[in-house]
Amino acid sequence: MIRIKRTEDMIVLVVLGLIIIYLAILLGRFALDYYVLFQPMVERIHGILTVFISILLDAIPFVLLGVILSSIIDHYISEEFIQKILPKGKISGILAGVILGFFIPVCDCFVIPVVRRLIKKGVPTYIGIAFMLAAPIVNPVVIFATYYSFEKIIPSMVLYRTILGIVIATIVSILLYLWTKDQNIIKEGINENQSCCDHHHNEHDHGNHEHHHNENTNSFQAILHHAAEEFLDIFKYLILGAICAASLQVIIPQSLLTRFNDNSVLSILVLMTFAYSISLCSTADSFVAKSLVGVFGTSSVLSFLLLGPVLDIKNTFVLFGNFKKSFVIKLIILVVGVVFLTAILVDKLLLAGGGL
Amino acid sequence: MSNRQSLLKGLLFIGYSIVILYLIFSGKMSKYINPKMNYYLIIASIIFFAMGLNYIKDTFKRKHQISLSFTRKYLIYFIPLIIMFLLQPLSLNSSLAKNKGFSMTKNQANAIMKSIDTIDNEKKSGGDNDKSNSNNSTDKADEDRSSDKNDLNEKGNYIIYYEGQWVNIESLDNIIVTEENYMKVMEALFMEPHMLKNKSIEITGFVLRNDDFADNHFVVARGLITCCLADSAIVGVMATGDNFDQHEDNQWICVKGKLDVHEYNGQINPIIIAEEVIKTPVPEQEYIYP
Repeated sequence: MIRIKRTEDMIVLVVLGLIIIYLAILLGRFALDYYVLFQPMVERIHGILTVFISILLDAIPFVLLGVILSSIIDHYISEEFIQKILPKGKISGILAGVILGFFIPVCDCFVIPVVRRLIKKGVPTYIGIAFMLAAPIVNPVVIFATYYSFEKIIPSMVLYRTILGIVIATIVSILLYLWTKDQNIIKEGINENQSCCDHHHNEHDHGNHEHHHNENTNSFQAILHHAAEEFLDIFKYLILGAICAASLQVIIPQSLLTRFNDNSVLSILVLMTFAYSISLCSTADSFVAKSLVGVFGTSSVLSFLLLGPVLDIKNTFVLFGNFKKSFVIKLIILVVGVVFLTAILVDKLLLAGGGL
Repeated sequence: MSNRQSLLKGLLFIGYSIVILYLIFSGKMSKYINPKMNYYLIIASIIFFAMGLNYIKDTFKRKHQISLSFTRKYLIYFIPLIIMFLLQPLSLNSSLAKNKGFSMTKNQANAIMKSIDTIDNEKKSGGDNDKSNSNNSTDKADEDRSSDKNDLNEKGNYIIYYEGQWVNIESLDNIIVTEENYMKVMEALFMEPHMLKNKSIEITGFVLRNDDFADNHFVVARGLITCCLADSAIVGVMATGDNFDQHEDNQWICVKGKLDVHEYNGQINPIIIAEEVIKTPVPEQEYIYP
């Protein structure tokens, strides 16, 4: 906790610094003749702040719905019930997680708090992770957006994305299970500092679920309170992620990317890095991917579409806020590795010869 | 939780609730995200307000413990709030644009050109699977898009919404590009530049130049926001005419002229041979929302 607080403080300082520089130069622009010298910098900072707010506003409603669903699950669904409906086998459990992703059209902002809650409620980690990795890619809204964007350019892209999304979610969940076994992956102590609060419903998380059921009178308020606390937890990491994504977006020119489009392995790596750093919403990324098609090969655009929704700089912060550090690092290694290998395989086997 | 902490959190949530409504009603919101998101944000605003009230109500209840060092912890939450209230969002047509490059003129056109040859082959091999897949998802995806999809029947047949009715773009002699038909017209232009050759066109956008443009050439460009600025793009069509160099970058203009084709970066692209260029103010709807 202490270390995170330090990074937070640092980011707060950086952001405040940016704002102060921006305001100072803005105020001084009429007085100083050499404002011209600073103008590009002011525009950069202005751009970063604008994109930062834009990313936040885009994510806020979905994070909010996610924490509310998480609180409702916490309040109304008992651990016994979850144990009863869970598939017993590991593979069937993972498949169930993936299929659940198909029916719940949500993006990564929404899915992380829900998965964290489900795992806390006793859902096995591998099922939760399978759901978390599949939902942003395999849901109908994203499938349709991808189909719509690519129907004229690469009609089979939607098939590749959906099927490989399922395959990757399954493989990563299995590998992650083999690697971590049944370790507890939830970062504890996030809610600790709030759990001493005076809200009498809020005995919080660790057991005491029956407790909630006895107090139906104020369950609405309890859910609201609970969701608000969880929102604050996640929002902090969202802010950090958004400011990083916005800075990368404004500072790194996209024309830089096109220098690496000759070599398929290199261009897969470049587009994976691009997907990671710009942090798009999975419903919108197919449009951006479309504009990359002419410049990059199909396999590299596919890697962009497969990695971006599951892992990006914005949700990395959120993941670190919710799960244990060692687990998040393992998750990142596996997701990146599996997506990369999949893209290479697709490139060598299915698309041999270059284009579709 | 101390009273002070409750109060701070309450104010924070109510602050976000108010700032969201302020951004929507001042019109600033449309410069950050696609307005189709506004409904979600209004819901979020209501929920924030309820959460804020819930905290403030706590303030008047009993105290458990008192701690004074919590304020610093909440500083990070107030930063975006303050920026949202104060910032005048930067338009896509200045420094943000330079970083992006334009997608229609280079990449996308390139992609579309390449793919036209392969579409037929693809349809034969993977077409059936594609269809069943898309049908499933069409039902569940939002109605708007599925009806949009029907606008494009077959290759080379572009139906656009024009002056209150659906017409085939090929049958028009004078194409007036509006916010509503922008994407469809652009798609038709770049897919079939030869089909639309010699038609009249009227289009509004801002002046955008690249280093490698010839004299008296610029792109009449618009910003495009699918979700938020992170996925924004610049779309536009090249125009040329006499004394074009007198128009400054980022100036909003309305260009009337005839369509032709030209080669740029090895691609056949459409170009407008301008007959008339009028300076216009920034349009009410600055961005295109596909």
